[in-house]
Amino acid sequence: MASVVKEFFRTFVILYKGFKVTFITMFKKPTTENYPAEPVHFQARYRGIHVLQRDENGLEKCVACFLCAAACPANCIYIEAAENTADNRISDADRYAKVYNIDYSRCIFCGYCVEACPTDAITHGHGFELAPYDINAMIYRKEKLLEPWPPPKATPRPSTPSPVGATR
Amino acid sequence: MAETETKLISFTLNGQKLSVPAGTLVIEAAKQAGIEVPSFCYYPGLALQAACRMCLVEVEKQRKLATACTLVAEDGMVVHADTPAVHKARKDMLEFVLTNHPLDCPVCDKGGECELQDMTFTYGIDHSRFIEEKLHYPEEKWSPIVFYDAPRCILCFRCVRVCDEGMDVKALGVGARGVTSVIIPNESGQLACEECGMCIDICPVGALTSGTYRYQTRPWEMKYFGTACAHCSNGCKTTLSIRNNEILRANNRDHSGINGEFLCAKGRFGYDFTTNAERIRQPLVRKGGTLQPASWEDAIEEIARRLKQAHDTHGAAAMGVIGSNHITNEESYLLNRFARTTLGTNNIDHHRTADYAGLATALGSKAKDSMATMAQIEGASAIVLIANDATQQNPLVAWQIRAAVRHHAAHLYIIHAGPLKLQRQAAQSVDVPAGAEGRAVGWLATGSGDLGGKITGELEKFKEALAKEKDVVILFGANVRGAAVRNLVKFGSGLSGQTRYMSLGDYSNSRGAADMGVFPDRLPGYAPLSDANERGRWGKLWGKEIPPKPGVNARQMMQAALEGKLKALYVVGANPLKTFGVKAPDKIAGLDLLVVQDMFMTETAQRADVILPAASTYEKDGTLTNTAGEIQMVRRAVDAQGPRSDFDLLRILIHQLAQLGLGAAMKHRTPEAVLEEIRQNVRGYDVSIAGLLTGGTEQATSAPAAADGSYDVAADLVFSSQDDLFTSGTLGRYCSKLNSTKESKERPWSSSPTTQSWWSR
Ligand code: SF4
Ligand code: SF4
Ligand code: SF4
Ligand code: SF4
Ligand code: SF4
Ligand code: FES
Repeated sequence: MASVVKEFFRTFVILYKGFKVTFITMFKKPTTENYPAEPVHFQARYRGIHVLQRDENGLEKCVACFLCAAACPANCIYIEAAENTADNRISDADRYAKVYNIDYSRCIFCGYCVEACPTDAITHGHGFELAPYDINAMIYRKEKLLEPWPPPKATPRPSTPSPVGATR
Repeated sequence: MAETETKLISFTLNGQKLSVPAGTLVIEAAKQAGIEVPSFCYYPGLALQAACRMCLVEVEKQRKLATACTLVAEDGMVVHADTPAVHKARKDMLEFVLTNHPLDCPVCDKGGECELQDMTFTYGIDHSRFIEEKLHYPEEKWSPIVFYDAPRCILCFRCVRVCDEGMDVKALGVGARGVTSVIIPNESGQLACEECGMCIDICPVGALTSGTYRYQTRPWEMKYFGTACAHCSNGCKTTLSIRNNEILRANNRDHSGINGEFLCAKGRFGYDFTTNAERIRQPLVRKGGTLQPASWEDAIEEIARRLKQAHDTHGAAAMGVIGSNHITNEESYLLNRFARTTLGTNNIDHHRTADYAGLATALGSKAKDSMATMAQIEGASAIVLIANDATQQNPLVAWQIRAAVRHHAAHLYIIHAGPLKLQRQAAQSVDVPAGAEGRAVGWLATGSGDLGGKITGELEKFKEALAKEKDVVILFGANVRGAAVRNLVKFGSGLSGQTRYMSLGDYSNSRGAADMGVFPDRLPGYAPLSDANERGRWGKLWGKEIPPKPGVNARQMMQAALEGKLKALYVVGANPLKTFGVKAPDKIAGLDLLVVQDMFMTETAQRADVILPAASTYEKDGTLTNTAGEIQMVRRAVDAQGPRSDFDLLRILIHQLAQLGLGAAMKHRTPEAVLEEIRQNVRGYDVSIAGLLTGGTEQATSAPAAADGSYDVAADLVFSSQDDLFTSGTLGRYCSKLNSTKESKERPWSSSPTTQSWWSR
């Protein structure tokens, strides 16, 4: 008799332990995202597709110092520098990046480039939808990476839910 | 130079006992012992400045720290370069240096190879106690190729000293005082100078930057190729910095080779001809009166067919070949083989810019110890310069002469027509009428010749002074030729000490073309064509007998072409129409076929029937021989996009013509294989291949087996193009960066040599 009670009690404890997580989770907000039906939620420091920043005057922050390219372990950043002139001023400093490419077929999103950048020109955005049918399309040119200017109204850069398909 | 016995002294550095020659600076002794003493302003070969105080060391029994760059090691001295006091001093000095230095590293051209960056990193100065605002000045453009950014300048005065002492131009000075000091150029904010770029190269930081390189890339992004300069005959070693198959910079990065850090304006900035828009990039064949693009196959086939046709109808004597002062030794050698065995003619010549053959013939078996190297100029006790404006025509030679005078108190003796900048360094200078240099030499050798009492009086003194010198290097230009060279050697060998000679030519491989026997009457290594043994030897090697009759020279060839006696002319990397002043309005009248291998539409190429685009010196492998006979390897630093090397073109053509029954096919496929054949067969070229492969130079001392007292050459065959610092024959026209300087347009030395303070003496 005693052994039946003991057995029952033991089973109950085991079941309780087993289902505890299930029951608690049942009443929590789900973590999984219903992507692509619903927007993805990012952590603020998520390392997605890069964004090349501009300063408050709309000039490019990148001065083509090549430090990001030097830091990049995947060797996927390609830059060509050029000198700013009075009638063609692209960045605030003496030089700017005439060409700035990131090859996303190689980028490992380590963030070293962002860390290396002395002018905070390169940052990680929250874009992640990179898959194309053609591998060449994975090389993003400067024009695609740059923050749009003038900044589009009413689309604050999301650190909270971002709409599906938005790359930044 | 004979090594003078020097006393050794011993002193202690960081507890290490060092034994060095008396008079050695502590900083040099430390370098040799592998102990680092940081420095900015100290630069070997320049006057001591002691401006930066980075090199402070502690000397026992001295109260204050001393600058190692001015401290002469003394017997028994005890020096410490690794004490807390020294470390603190270094940090403090760097803090001072950085007072006004902007945080420009990300955009500065020097970033990555900057001495200040390295020091700051090594000596760990990561903060500053200065809170004052940094001084700021706008960047200055001193010339199209020299820019100055004052805030970055750390006032080490290396630029001032190299321009003053090394270049003897004195275009830079120091303005204002204390922290507001800046470097100022000589002409109210502008430079009027030789535009050598030495100041840019020597600047430890990014204060002086080059207009041709600035803001294009960063040092770690480029590939580096050590090769030799494509311009003058001095053969400076240079490093080409390459990114994306484009040359972005030329400097002798590791300061190795015959020229150390030296490069002149042409070597440093004259590399952009490679990408000039006017470059011919595909074969052109004349059809219906105009040159039209053709495929390689068609062009080569056309040349082979028409050469064969001309050969069969008019005979080998109606064929002619003009070689180049720029192509590599292997190419000149191949061209020689092509002319003598494929075409079967001795009508082969080139524009002789110096009488190398004359010197080799006059020296004969003595050539081995009698040809001077660039280094021996600096080591000589006396230098004789005859009929050459070395500053303009042979910049490295002039640099070496100045170094000899500055460091070793060598005596410079000049015989020249008109004023020369080098007269500032001269112990004696004899001004002779233009063209009389040869006669002056004749007078030195024989004591006869009509030169006028004044000149002979001066030459008398000249001779007396030279008789006392131990170690003499004689440099001479194109106006000393034929018999005059023989006289010069006669005079030189009569001197009491060691005498060496250097014939000064114009272009990067002038000497090589001569050594490879691009002459109507000489085979490779200056072997006389009249020597049946030599003919037999070369004929055997090249698979076909060489005709015994000497060919006609370049001028005669051009004349014969006009008269219709020459039917086919093959020109490689030369512009004979311009060089020999041939008048031919639109076509060379008598020629059936004119083939030109070149980079650009020269006057000669415009009249060609077929043009094959050729690769430049920077786009091919091979060897060049400088005017001193020093052989150097050139390497393919960039790919020629379209053109092919003269080597390949000749190789293919030799093959094609062999198939048509002209000459023998060749087994060699690469320049290396041909170099091997040259090393084994050309007299004087049996040099160490290891020396060449490791980026060094090896001296070739080609000369015929026996001196030939009867050798002479017509005055109109050996002549210099008189290029100056900003011209480089036909090639110079396509160096746009070089031509953007105002000196290249105004040429101050040619119009009024005495009014230009920086130029005249
Ligand atoms: S995230 Fe990493 S791999 Fe990607 S570009 Fe930056 S440094 Fe390179
Ligand atoms: S993004 Fe930043 S690190 Fe990269 S080149 Fe531009 S400024 Fe330099
Ligand atoms: S000559 Fe001109 S370019 Fe050369 S070191 Fe002097 S200032 Fe600089
Ligand atoms: S410009 Fe350069 S070399 Fe000249 S003093 Fe300044 S830091 Fe020194
Ligand atoms: S001296 Fe002659 S070889 Fe040297 S860099 Fe100048 S042109 Fe070139
Ligand atoms: S290196 Fe000695 S003071 Fe500059």
